[in-house]
Amino acid sequence: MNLTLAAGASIAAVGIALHASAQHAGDISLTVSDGAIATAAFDGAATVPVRVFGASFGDTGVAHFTSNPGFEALPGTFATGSRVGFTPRAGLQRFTGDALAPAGEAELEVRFLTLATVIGAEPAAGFDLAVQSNGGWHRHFNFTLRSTGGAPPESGVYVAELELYSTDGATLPSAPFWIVFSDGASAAEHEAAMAWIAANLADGGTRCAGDLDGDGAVGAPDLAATLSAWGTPDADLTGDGDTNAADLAAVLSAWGACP
Amino acid sequence: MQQHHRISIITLFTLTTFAAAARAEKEPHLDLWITASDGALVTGGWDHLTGSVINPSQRVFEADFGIDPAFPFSTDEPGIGSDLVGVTLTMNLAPGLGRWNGDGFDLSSAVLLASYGGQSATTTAGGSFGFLVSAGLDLHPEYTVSGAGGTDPANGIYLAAFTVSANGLASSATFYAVLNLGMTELDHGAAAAWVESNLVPSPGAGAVLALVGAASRRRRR
Repeated sequence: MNLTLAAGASIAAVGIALHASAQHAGDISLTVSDGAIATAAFDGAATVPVRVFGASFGDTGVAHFTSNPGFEALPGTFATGSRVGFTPRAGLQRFTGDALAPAGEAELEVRFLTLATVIGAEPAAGFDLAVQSNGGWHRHFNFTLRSTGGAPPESGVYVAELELYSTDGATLPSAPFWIVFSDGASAAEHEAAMAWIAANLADGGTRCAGDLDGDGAVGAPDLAATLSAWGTPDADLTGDGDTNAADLAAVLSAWGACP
Repeated sequence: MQQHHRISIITLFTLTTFAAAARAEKEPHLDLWITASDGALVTGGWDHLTGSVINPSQRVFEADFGIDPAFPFSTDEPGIGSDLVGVTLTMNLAPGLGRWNGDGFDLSSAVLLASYGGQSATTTAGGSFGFLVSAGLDLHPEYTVSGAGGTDPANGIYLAAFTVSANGLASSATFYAVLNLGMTELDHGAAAAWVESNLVPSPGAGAVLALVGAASRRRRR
């Protein structure tokens, strides 16, 4: 069984300042590939696998706020009646010029109507939204950057690492992907952050299902991590919100080097 | 004159029937497209998936509350697209919320809240929210209906009136959101067709309050 979650070898970083076309550019395009959710972007001619996405707070004139990027799955992508949601994989981080570091007092609120989560120093639980009646999923979350200290957050580049899941019981979660937010940073700094993440994190696009430590293979450390996370969502590979026998089976099935 | 009335009634009936038939099942509705023409803002119907403006003069937009059961009284449709990059647009929500009665709209005690980015407007007193148009804009304000005193609203088809404005451009003609809460798509289509036939041809009419009054007077005659 091929449980590869990698979006593919072609990892590219794209910004959101693209123009509308056949599929709405700027959104994170979602497909289901090899049984797992895959992220992609429309580059003006075709949809290509992408795991690093750019966004800018204030892009619609509201400081520290953006509703971009949106998510777009074409009709028929997901099972009707199911839900698709996101899980933060890490606390909010900030680009330092050559690495990512904890974002300090800054935190990111992700909201959709009355549902909200705050990604602070630690990852938080995400939430899911209904798939449309035609099997598509077009959603824009509201992202607000704020500071626990009450003062406006410092300008800079902030990074959220997420994965997507489906509640249909059959579709595996996506590989990790990153939304790289600029809050008053220069375009050069923003682009540098996206390039750094593409090269140093997303370029490990060989990470596969079961490769919990990201070393490019499924082995004893991943098995140990699965067992130690038993009964929690921490090593949930199947998207059912729990680490259980199904996740253990996924780890054992993928044993060895990632394809 | 009698002949004129008969033609109008037949036209309205035909429009309503066609619209209702086309709406027998739920289908995606068009988003709001905002552009400028001859110095004035103009609304149209936009398919964001294809990036195509399907109807360049559309002024009636449909959406359904409760597509997500987690939010039975809310929706983030219709979305908004625009090619006016660099322009700050203001969405103005008129006071008054109409509710479909089968052959027109009555003034409802329910309230519609429209919000985006921490700004909000309600149909209680009207209000506005603004946003800057960036390239590839695909904006989804949130709309929530509530009953009097914050209670759950009654099922129905609700009507809200908007204009859009911007510095240096004349404001748009009034356009309408026809929002379905728990009614059939047939009813929804009929209500939208009624708005199309009775309200859109009246340029300058600004508030649902006034429009509902006009509709009621027509019915009494």
